[in-house]
Amino acid sequence: MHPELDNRIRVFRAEHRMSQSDLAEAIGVSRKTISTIEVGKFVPSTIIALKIAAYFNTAVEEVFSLIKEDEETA
Amino acid sequence: MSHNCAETVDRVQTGVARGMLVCGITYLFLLWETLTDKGRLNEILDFIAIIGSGLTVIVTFVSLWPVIKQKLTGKVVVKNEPESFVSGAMLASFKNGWIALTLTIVVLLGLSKFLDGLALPLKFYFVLLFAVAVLSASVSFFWLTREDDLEGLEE
Repeated sequence: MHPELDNRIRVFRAEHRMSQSDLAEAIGVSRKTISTIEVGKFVPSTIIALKIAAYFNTAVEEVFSLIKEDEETA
Repeated sequence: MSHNCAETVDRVQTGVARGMLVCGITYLFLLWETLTDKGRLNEILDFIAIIGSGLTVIVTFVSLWPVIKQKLTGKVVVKNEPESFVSGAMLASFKNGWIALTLTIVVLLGLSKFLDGLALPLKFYFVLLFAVAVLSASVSFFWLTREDDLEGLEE
């Protein structure tokens, strides 16, 4: 997991009953890009983040959030 | 086979890295060949290097075929993805390759007086540096893009 960026892509995917490949195809990226964003290995560009949020019809802050310092140390 | 352009871009980049790996291994055999005297072993190593060179060309050509096809037909098969994990890994690998190459040059410079005494052919050093550059970049790429158990988790 990235030390600063958290995401809820897996939750949104589960709600929409989508696989990583389905989401990747829908927003025009590869499955590897989605899977590495989900586990925090890859920090997406603003464009990809906005595309994911737009696909789930939600605000980007609902999908991505900064990990607060106290959460990091907990 | 997926028609997702981004998957095609990833496959092209992975294929290029595979070509670099085959090329790097071929150059290791060439390196060995430069150290052996004329004879049976030298001939075998020369043969392996020729096969390796052919394999490098084939692997690279097959990997780049979607891009070549696009250039020839003008039909867009590979769109430029805004950013991808694999593209980032490729750039990071080139950076790691450059670091490995620089370190090798520094070591060779440090050992230059000792190496002078060995009187190795100049070809040895060029082959060594090329092998280090392509091998370190390709190995780094496959390390960075290795599959993580967590990544495949589906809900």
